[in-house]
Amino acid sequence: MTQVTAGTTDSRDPAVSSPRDAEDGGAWVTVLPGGVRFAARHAETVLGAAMRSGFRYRFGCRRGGCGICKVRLILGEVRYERPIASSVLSDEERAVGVCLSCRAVPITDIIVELQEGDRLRQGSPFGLKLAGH
Amino acid sequence: MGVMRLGFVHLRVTDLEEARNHYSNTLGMHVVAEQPGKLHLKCWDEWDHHSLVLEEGGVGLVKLGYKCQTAEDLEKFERRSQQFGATTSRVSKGENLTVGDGVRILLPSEQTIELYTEMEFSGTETGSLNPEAWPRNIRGAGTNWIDHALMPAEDPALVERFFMECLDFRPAERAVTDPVHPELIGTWMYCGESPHDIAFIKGPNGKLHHFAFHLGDWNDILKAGDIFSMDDVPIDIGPTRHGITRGVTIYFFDPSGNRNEVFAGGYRTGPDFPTITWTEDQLGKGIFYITRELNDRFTTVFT
Repeated sequence: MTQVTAGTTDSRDPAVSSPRDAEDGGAWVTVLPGGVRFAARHAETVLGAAMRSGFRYRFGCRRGGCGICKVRLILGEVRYERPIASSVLSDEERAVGVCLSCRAVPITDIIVELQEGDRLRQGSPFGLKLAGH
Repeated sequence: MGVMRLGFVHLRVTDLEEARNHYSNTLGMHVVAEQPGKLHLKCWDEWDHHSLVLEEGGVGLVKLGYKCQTAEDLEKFERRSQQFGATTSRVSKGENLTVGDGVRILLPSEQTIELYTEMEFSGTETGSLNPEAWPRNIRGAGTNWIDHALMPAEDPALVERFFMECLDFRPAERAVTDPVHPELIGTWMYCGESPHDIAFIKGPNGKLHHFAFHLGDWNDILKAGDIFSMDDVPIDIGPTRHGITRGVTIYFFDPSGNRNEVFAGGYRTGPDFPTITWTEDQLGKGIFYITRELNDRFTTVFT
């Protein structure tokens, strides 16, 4: 795994994600710290878009059950297309912007912040070019 | 006499139809009864009415049912549990579909188990008279039976002592911090002759780590892995081997994020089985024998 070097929120490297993904009913996802940006397709989750774009961060079951992949929604809006157990994501957490990223689908461009100690890593063995390179 | 086996798992799922698809088409169980918001399922090699109850709403464990041999067993286990300080109550016949009277126990680790002696007999899919080796209409991974469950406990030593003193389980394997001043961090316990019927590792009370389905052998595990790839099932780890129990395994997640396992192999235990000890510095090898590395998810992901 290679540590992702910080890009800027303005860089739109087509090797990372296509602007068309975001324009076709999708949205841009910017991840802090680092500010790397990738596109989420229509109805694609935040974690799903990250993995498709060649990135990894801390996740667990990928099915909304464990809460390991929670991130903080700094800007923008998401929706949940499947029921979420209140034991996994409480109303209080939602109110302060905690977002279950394996189930959250962006409905606007969003900025999310990873949990303390976590970082975005490059997950593709073929070395997809990263924003900022 | 005593507890025979894990008889049923009662589980919460966020979406009943997705769960139905996973447990029937991917794992090969059959739906045997439907109630509003609930499904009852069994594997082809099981003879009681059901072994899995799926209940819509939330995630995680409602309870585990352990089947015992006699009514005297239930009374003995209830009395001992009360003396231990655990909260118990009676379960009436029919409260669980086709299940007889039972005893509910809130474990020191805050999961609920129910002990019972009777469940409607419906037979295995291959029957009891001159049976074929397996059913021709087998689906997905074709799991044989539900085998065991592993749960986290804040105090594994306390819940181990509960199962030994109250329910006559024995530890096949134990994981300790260090052999000189051992603190128990995991215990794999049996009531019959399998390597484990229940297990606990250090973690938060009241949660589920996983429950497991038995398969015949390593080839069946690989085939299950193929099915998981076809069905886009999230994999936790595997196929690999456990040092503890010596079983071969894949951990994966159901559509609500509850962890499942397919498990094959392992050794034979019994009342005179010498307990095996693993030390914390070797626990990576104990859990995942081939890679010798615990992944973060194993000790942090619960439902």
